[in-house]
This record gives sequence, C-alpha cells and structure tokens, in this order.
Amino acid sequence: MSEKPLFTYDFYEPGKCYGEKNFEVDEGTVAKWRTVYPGDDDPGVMPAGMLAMIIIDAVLTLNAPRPPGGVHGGQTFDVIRMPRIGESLVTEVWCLDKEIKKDRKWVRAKSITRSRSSGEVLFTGIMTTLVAM
Amino acid sequence: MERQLKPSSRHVDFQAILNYADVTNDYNPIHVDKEFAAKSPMGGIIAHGTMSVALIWQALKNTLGVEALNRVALEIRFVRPVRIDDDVTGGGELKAGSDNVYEVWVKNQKGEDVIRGEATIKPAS
Repeated sequence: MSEKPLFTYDFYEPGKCYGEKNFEVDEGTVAKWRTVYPGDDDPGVMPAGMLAMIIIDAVLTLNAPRPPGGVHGGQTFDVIRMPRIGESLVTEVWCLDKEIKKDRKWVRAKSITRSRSSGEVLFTGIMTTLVAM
Repeated sequence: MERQLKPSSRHVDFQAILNYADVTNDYNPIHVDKEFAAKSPMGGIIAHGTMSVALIWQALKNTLGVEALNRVALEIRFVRPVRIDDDVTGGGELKAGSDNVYEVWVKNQKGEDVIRGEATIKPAS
C-alpha cells in the first residue's frame, strides 16, 4: 500500500477547498481542555481558547500528512456566536493564498465553522503558517 | 468599556505543552520532541502559539464578560516563541482614540511580546 505524500507548500492551491471536518463540543473534550485551563469553567459555555483548537483540528486533518516543524505565524478569529457545549460543528478549510518571502514559505488557510444542525455560521478564521517544506 | 483588560497568566512547563498537545491532537515535533526541536531553526522546543492565545480570550472574558465573546474579532501575530518554563501573561488596553478596539498582547516574564494583535468588540445586535 502506498503512503500519502507529504502535504508540502507545492500542494497548496489558492482558492482550493480541502473539505470539511466535524467537531463535537462535548463534555469530555471540554473537560480535557479544562485540565490545561482550569479557570475556563463557565457553565455551558465552550472556552473561547478552543476556537483555535477547532480550526487547527480541521487544518491538520484536511491538509495532511504535514511535514514536521511548521510554525504558526498568525491567526484571525471573527466570532458571530460562540459554540455551546453539546453542539456539533463542521469546519470547511480552503487555501486563501501563499507566498515565498526571504526563502520562507507562507500559507494562509481560511476556515469557516458552522453549526451542523442549523448551518448557522459561528466563526471564521485565517491561519497563517510558515510551512516546513 | 474598560480601558485595561484584566490580565491572565500561566506558567508553561514541558508537561503543560504535552498536555496541550494531547488536548488539541497537535503533536508537531517542534512542540513535543526535544531532539527534533533542538535541530530545527527554532533551536529547541516552542509551545503551541495558540496555547498563549487562550490567555487573551481569558483577559477579554474576565473584563467584558462571557457574552461579549460572541462579538469579538481577534487578529494576532506570533512575534516570539514561548519556551519551556516561561511565564506568560495576556492582556491589553483600549487603542488610543477608540472605544471598541483593544491592543492585545501576550508577554513573557522578561516583558517581551510573544503575541501582538487587536481585538475589536463589535456592537451588540
């Protein structure tokens, strides 16, 4: 069986959509988050720090396997409504653009996260990454 | 709107980085493999950048309340890596001349910026 090639800089195509990734904001996942951030304990409310986790989960899954050693350079979040604990989400990811600056390979991935049940847009993001290869 | 965000801090030891990797399923070796990271351009382990972004969200929530998070547009840049055993603090202050845009930051124990950015609090609909 042949292995999937590494998802290197050359694979990114500006404008191309890489698909969707589901994410469950369940009690177990939130409890794991709270082992790292015990103060994020508002009842019923998903900790806002998890927004980045949802985006990264989608990008790491859809643009994989990634060459090791990439670095997160920047991030935007535009929140329309914070997800609630118990909600099912779906995140769509596509390549916004890419460029090589001073021999460094930069990629920007756009994401949009919706409620799976209603289709309501909850938040969007742009993740800027310095890819390793 | 409060002029200053109430800061939020944490200590980042290697175990905390490993725990964050477990939670987020982000096992990039630059964060979890000391040998790999030492040979990389970073010269050693760096914490996940988004681990520190959580401190900005906490500062916003602690100051403006949890409901306000539904109206935030946050834009940040990771300007310096967070290393093992750094103490980092997230905070911010209202931008000069603005009543709804905060200049936000995360600083390490030396007072150096590790994250810079802006948080815009959109009007309630």
